[in-house]
Amino acid sequence: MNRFAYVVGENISTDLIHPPNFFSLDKNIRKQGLLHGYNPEWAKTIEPGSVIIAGHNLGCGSSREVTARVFADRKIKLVCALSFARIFYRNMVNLGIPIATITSRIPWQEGSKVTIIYDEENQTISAQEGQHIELAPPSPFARKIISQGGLLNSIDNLFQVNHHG
Amino acid sequence: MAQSLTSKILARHTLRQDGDHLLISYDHLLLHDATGALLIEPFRKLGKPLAHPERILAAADHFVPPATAERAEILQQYLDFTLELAGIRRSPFTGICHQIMVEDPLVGCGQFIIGADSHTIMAGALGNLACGLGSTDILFSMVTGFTWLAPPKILKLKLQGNQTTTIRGKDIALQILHTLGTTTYADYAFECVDATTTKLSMDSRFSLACMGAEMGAAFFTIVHDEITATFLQAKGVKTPAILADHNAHYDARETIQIPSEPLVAIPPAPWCVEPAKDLKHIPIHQAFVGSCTGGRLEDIADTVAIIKGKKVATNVRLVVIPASKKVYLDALEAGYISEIIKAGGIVDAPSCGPCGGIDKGIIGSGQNMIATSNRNFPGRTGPGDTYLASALVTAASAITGYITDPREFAP
Ligand code: SF4
Repeated sequence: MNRFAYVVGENISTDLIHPPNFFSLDKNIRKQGLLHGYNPEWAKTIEPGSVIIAGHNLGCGSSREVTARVFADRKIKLVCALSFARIFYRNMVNLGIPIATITSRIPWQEGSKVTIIYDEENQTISAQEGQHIELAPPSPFARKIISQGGLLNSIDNLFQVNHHG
Repeated sequence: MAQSLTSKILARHTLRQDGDHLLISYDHLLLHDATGALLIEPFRKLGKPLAHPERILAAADHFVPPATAERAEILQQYLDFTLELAGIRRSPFTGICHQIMVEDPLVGCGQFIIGADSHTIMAGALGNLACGLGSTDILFSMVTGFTWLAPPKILKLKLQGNQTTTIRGKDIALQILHTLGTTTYADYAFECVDATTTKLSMDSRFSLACMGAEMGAAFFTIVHDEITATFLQAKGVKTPAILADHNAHYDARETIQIPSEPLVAIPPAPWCVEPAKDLKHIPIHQAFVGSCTGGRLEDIADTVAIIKGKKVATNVRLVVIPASKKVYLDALEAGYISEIIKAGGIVDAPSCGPCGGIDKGIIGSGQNMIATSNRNFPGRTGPGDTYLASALVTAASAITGYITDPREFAP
């Protein structure tokens, strides 16, 4: 199945992913902020089921969780990057949003929109011209949480709560 | 085996290992209005009790006082919510959450601290492991009493050199960002030793540890010494210091020389650093002294040392926001606030102000701001361009109207 991948560059901060003026308790306002700081046109048009491809240090900056939640709000299929900033990475795992680390070179220019096929089983993303990237899944612990649909859904299944710790 | 300070604190707080991760208990958990408000609905939905209410410190600082009707509503929802949480430590309107955390007499050294804000890392300046987490992480910890963590790699960071009268913690943070960038040691626990001849003040250390967030550090712990001891004693903390063992293992080591001249981070990121003296061509519209990185008494005293008896440049806004009620009262008592007002500055109540780009004092497009805050990513503090510097540089720039090396004002 063809889908679109949106390619962004290095050090894409949470302020570019979701500018502070889209911070709201209203999901409909929040939704409009996706990558608005990077490309306001994309913010309007990114289709559900799309894939985001980023360079190193994706999500550096604020701990505001809306910057992760917005990917779920917009039904993004996968967010992959050469590396993730720490809190952003945790937020994505905690919300159960699929992520992967890119282990190969990114052949597409930043700022481009590419038609791709995402092969979930083999963890690759390929375009018609034969260009492709390889992915590595997050750690087993993170995978366990994502597969439960996020951290809060995992409490009863994965953790014994100890109130005397 | 000889252990680092980081490993010791982690070991003391580890409840158990879960595969490749540790489950860690915390001594303090920090909430504030902007991210705390996001917890209300999921907390009610979850329907579980708090594991350790007495370990929770709830500030209100981002929307204080609120600049829009929507923020007033968010703030009120949050305040009402924290009232429902019996047994927590509420401290609304007393300052920026990270500052009231380090002022809190229950916050000592050797502790594990988490908070719903990335700059929670600042409490590491007292010899703690402190880190910021997102809302879901925090909610999880509120009800379970622990958090999850992959054991971090540890960087021993040594500060060396001679601190001159115009160099502050902010300059050192910028020097580190300039030298190491933000990805080389991403996710490492930084264990920082102050081996400078003069030793950094506690206020400078807070400002330095705060910017550990921009360095990509998981933790930024400053190893306990006599400066830490004096600060902790003054607030009545009696916990004995924990130190690293001699010959402890570190995954990496770096030595940073104290910069010889005041530095400025230029847009678009805190790691784009230039000497202040090379930026005279940048006119400014606003100078902001405040935030958890640069709104303490040292910063306000520095501001006054520069502006006393002078006037802020025409058409430039000098906005000063003390980081906490205590800082505000101390500044009032020292006579600093009246000097700022006489020089034409604007003083606001303890809060985040324009730092997070969501409250009073943000800048418009085409405007330049020089600020003691911590981030200058595009859009962070409004649509304009933000330059990051110490209070000395910021105040000097407020007087001239362009980015200025404070050594020009030296007596
Ligand atoms: S002062 Fe700025 S960085 Fe600090 S908590 Fe407030 S918004 Fe965040």
